[in-house]
Amino acid sequence: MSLSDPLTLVSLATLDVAIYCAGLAGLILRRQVEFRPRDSEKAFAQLERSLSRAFPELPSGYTWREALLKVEALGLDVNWTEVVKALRQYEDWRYGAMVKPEEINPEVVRLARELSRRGRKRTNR
Amino acid sequence: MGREKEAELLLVCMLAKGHVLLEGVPGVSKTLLAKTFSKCVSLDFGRVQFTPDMLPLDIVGGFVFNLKTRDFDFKKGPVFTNVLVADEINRAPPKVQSALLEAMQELQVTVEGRTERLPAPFMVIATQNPVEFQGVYPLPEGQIDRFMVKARMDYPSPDVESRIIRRNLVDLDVADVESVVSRQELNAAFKAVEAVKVTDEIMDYLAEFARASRMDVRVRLGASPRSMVHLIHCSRAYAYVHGRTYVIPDDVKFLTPYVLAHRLRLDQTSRIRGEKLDPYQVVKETLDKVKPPR
Repeated sequence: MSLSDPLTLVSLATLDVAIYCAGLAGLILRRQVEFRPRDSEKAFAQLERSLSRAFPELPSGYTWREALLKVEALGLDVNWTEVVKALRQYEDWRYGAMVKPEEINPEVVRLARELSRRGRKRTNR
Repeated sequence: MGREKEAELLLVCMLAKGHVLLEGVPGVSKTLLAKTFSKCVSLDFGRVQFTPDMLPLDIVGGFVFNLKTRDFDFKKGPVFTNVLVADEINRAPPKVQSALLEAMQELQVTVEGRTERLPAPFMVIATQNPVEFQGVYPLPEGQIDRFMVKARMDYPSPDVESRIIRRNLVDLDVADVESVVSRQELNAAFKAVEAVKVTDEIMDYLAEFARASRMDVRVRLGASPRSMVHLIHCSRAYAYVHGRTYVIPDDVKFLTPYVLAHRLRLDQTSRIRGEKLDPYQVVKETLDKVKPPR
């Protein structure tokens, strides 16, 4: 098998493309899985990570309400009524020992995704 | 008018069974706020204007000779009320301050061996001018710690001030203020506050904050365990006032400057260097450093 052989070149090129495609697919899949939390607790954990990425200057002592007030001022395309509702349910469980919300509010996931995107843009600048 | 935050603090402190210290220059409605508040919550109200020549018996009461019975009768002092407004507490001599502060701590008064319980609920709203004014006796640290909350009352904003002036063109009487809650409702509120939940994580957060305040190099005397106990009681009352049956970290963060700032003693060497440290600012900066349960 020689590199000057056209068949060898085509095979290597195809293998190269396949490896890059697999890598890209893996990256896309990882990002999708990242934003498919299993429950509301994981959803808010993801939101916390996204907040840290989007606002690295946020002091460690921030609370959920403070952070979301800051984010609301950005004017993101998110249904804030739903986000506030989800936060209330999360607080009921987290601090009030009430039943853990079973459903994941999609607006929380969407917000986490938006903030993560912002965070990546900041890093890439 | 324009004192909504202070009124809320008074309510929270009362539900937390604590006492309040209002500090501000003359004429910013400290006494009016206290009088109006006690009228709104259907509680008996008493007022004492402190002066440098007062005696402890002027506060707690004492024995007075009864000519008819030829015996000494105990005459209760102004402290025997539900809400006592102690005006200009820093004008009273230390002995008088101690008498009041002891009553605040023990909720009872002992005069010549006779002990009398104070009525329940009992709350002191003390007012004081800032210590820069002449003829004052600053409250020592051990005694200022008795106050659950200290609120600074600054001058109102221009539009509030003009509304105040317009409103006072007609004489206002606190007697015209109507109660908004009955004694039964108040008692139910006290019970409800005791049932407000606080998670272990929130309590650990408080302990962590107290530790952080003591480790700050700018602070000579940081948060004490008593101040954290006061803070948690206030937080429960605050949560109740806001319609929740549990405390969230935001409650703690909002109340901490009011509960803690007057207890902090800052390192005075910063003044020599020309830095002006504000205890409220130091508290807020420490709160920013401690991660709450999320």
